[in-house]
Amino acid sequence: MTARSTVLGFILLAALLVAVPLTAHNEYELRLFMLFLVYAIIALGLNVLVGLAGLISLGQAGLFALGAYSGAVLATRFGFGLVAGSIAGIAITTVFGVLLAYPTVRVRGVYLAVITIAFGLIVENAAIEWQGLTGGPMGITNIPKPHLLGMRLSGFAYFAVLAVVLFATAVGTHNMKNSRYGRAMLAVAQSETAARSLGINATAVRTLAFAISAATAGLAGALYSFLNSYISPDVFTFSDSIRFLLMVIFGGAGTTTGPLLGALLLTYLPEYLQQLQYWQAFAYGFLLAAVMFVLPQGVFGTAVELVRRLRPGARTIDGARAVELAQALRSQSHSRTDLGADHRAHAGAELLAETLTVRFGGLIALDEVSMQVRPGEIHALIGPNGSGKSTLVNTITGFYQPAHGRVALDGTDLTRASPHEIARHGLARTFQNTELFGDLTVIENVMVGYDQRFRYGLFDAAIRTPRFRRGEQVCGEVAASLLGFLGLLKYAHEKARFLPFGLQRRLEVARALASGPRLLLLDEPAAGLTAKEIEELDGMIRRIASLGVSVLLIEHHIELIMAIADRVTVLDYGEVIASDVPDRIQQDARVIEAYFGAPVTAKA
Amino acid sequence: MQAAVQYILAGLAIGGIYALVALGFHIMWSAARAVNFAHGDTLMLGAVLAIMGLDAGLPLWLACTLSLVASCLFGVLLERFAIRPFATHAMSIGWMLTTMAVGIMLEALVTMRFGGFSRPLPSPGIERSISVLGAGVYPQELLIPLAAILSVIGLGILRKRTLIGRAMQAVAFDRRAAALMGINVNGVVAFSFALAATLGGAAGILVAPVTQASASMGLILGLKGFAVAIIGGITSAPGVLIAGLGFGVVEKFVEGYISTAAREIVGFGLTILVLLVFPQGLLGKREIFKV
Amino acid sequence: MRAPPGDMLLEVRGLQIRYGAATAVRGVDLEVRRGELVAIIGNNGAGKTSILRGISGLVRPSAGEVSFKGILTERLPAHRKVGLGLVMIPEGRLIFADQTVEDNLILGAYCRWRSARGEVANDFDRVFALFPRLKERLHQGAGTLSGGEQQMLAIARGLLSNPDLLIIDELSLGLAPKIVEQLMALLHDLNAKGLTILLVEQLASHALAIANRAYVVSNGQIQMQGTAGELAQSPEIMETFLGKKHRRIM
Repeated sequence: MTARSTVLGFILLAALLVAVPLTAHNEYELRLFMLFLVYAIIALGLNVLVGLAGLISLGQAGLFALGAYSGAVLATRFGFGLVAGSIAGIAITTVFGVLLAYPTVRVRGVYLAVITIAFGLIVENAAIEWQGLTGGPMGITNIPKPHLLGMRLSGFAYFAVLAVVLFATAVGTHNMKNSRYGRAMLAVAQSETAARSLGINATAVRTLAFAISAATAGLAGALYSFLNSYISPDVFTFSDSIRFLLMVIFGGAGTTTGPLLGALLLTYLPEYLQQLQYWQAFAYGFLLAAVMFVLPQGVFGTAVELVRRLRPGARTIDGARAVELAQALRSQSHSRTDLGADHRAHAGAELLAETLTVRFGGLIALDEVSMQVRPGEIHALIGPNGSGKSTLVNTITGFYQPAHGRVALDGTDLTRASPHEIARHGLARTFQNTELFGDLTVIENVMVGYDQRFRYGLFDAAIRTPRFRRGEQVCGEVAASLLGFLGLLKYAHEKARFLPFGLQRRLEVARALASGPRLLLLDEPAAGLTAKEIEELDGMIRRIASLGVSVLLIEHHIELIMAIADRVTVLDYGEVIASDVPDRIQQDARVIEAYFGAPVTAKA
Repeated sequence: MQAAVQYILAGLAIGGIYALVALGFHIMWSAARAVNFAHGDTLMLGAVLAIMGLDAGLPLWLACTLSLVASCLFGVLLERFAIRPFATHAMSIGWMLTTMAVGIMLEALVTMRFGGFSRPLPSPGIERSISVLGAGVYPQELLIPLAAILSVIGLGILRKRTLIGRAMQAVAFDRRAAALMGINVNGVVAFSFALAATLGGAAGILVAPVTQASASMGLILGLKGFAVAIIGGITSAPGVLIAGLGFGVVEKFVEGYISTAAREIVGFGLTILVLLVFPQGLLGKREIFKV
Repeated sequence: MRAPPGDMLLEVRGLQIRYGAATAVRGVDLEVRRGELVAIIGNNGAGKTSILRGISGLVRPSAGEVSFKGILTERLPAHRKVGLGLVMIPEGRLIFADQTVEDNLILGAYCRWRSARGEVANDFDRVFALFPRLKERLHQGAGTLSGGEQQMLAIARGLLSNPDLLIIDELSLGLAPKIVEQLMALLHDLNAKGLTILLVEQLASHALAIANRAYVVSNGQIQMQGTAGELAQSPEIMETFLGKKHRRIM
């Protein structure tokens, strides 16, 4: 969405929020719309979890209940007012939200969804069971009317409060989506491996998503209890959790308008189907099926996609701007667009692997492997299939732990470090099977690579402080200059998965470079490339090395290695069998035997 | 003491149902790494259609047979159209939502036809109660855990002694290798889902005389059956059997001494705990995912 | 001396295999005649395994024709090809580790139990004669076998499918050199007795030692082809593996 259409959208929302109370015919209609406002807050928060972080939660009603009961209990027993009750509601649910995020470390997919279902059912039953606190099945009935600054909030006044809160939530979540946080969540959802290797702490990102969805549900809950003056367990059932999920995915997950639309639809639909009780249940199933089978991007998401197809807008960065950026790149004095300004003083990092041993069960994948990449050199790692190259790469980058041995980058021991920590120490990598963030645009992919270099926080993102704007601008410039460096500027706003294969590979390199690494690990960059593309790759690697980045290259294409590698290490059966300059490797008898097999007399 | 025996026997009965449902999940998960999340509805169909068959004047055996066929068909169709297109890779859970959607619609439609209240299925097994260790119990209730145990044994024999059983194990182990043996993987998966659904329908027929059939019985039985599969280890048939029987007994004790709501809290709380500490379940195999 | 090759068994024209946006195989032509032992060699990542996946049906080719016994099979799923006599032993063997040796063998003959029960029994005897160690370990879990024994089991399983063409992918992967030699000799023997074999092998010297003809694959295309003898003598072949400027060892 362009900046202009975003502002227009929010103006429309504000207009709607003002118009409705003026046109409502009676108290009932107003209350129904206020209910929509409450649900919309839940939907916007759940959208962060489902639409951005890609995690399905079927327990949102449980969090909604926690917020509602917190507000209600504190109001009826301890005289808490609206603001205090809401804050308490948010705090309590956020704690549970963070707790719910913990399982994502251990389980994924359907198991995580089952945990959320179980959570929702536990809360519902706890509300029934813990009669002393919650009033049991009868609920809490005498919640006092809300007050704000001593003033009693009647129908229209409370409406105003709800409207302002909804508007703020919409703006806040929308801004967060278009910041490093939103991009990080989308990245983790599309390729967790790649995100971690770029320095993103996937667990922290998921926890944030859960926390935001919980906080909004808690806030909505507290507001609901003051709206209704009465709450009971049967408002927070599994069926309601399905309804909240539907609001997000039927409206359009990942967008801001989608959840609002979905909340509107699913607040009013039950009203119209009141008489046709069983058809209401059927409708939920039908809408869910409709989304899954026909409209995976939801109503609004599909509409946006259609518009995009019919009006192919700017996919490239403006020509004049591109020239500007390319010039900035070449000029030595313009330090901000330098590709990794931090390391101009050094000539790339030194990587040291010492006697690494990795075992999988009884199988020894790496046996006392030692290797050194000197600062600024292009070092190649080769070896037949099954020789342990992937294992070595994954051990260096923190995905496997060695049984013993050591990995150090410029002296810093990284043996036990996790992938995102290693990335933050200056080691970036590409992958054998391209791990792009397919649904993000080309430039957004590179901007995710820049993530670890940002200085602004969540609050800055939510309200778009000057610090946020500066950070985003620098990031955009670095990303654009990297795209220029790798010849991808004209595809900047294209979705990554539509790129031709050779360019996808280049994008991965651009993304890795955005983190400002001192050592770049390229995992089979030539695989699947045509001869011409391999020539271009040759030039690209040389240009990267000339920027002062050490390169560790894992490859099969012998010609490429002979042409650009300074030194070559050869693995076979998990051991290093040679480590020398390319010419001598070519003639090493052990290397020949590893690749070609020992000379055998013909039987034919 | 008598109460304790009562709880144990009743617990084994409902536990047997959970075990049968969980066994269905185990069979489906082995075949496709995805399950019919509306599997509970196969029980509902088995029970409800049998009763409707009786209403229409059919003899019991025919009504039950037809309802089993319907359950089986439900499972096969769902696999083909709601699961296979949505189980493209290991972490996808689209199949969970699609099957849930179909289940919700089916339940709504059945409620409109069958009514919102529950009815018993007449069976010789509940005509008279018998006394076991001082507690009164229907023979039907004892039949259920027995059926669960026999099903697990039967599945084991199928897998070790028959060609189709070996093929099922092969497909569960590695689909490509199975295809290279000439095994029609999609066919084996369909068969597995048919087997699971039929088992579900049979479980529905077995439990309907005891706890009565209703259009909404499927949802909670399915959820708890899946919880049991998780606790026992969805990759282990004996695991889900033991977990199911144990879960049922624990439920009855908690329900008896505290309340129904407490029963749900304990049950689902246990599920979350097991998932956090033993993600593969008590007797399951660890499933490794490569980077 | 080998008998002269018979009629055309496998004919591949213009094979193209893509994985998403990446093209692994770009237009490969090859053929195998009855009675031959044909090898496909080449460096890693060259596309050898992808070619076999396309022929065996594990992957649907994005273009090209795979003709087996005169029948166009490129659209057939893998399990149908087994019934036709096109049998592949995959890379990494992929034996069913959670079942016994006997179960694996029974599954090898999966397609034939109903139609040719008697013949299957005979084939079991023949397989046990070739691999007595499998008979010894018949009721052991297949996962407990050593690497070499697992490869034997994979070959035995393949033979029990009664192949007209046996395709073997990377026999030597993860096996000690001595075992590789034994197995290569075995394949040579089986071929001498009439079994047509298509072999993808990383260790080119072994493959060329037992094959009639070979194709050298590089970058998804056939770079060279010829009789094993010709290729073994050619200076270019070393270059595809180890780059130019290489001193001939063989």
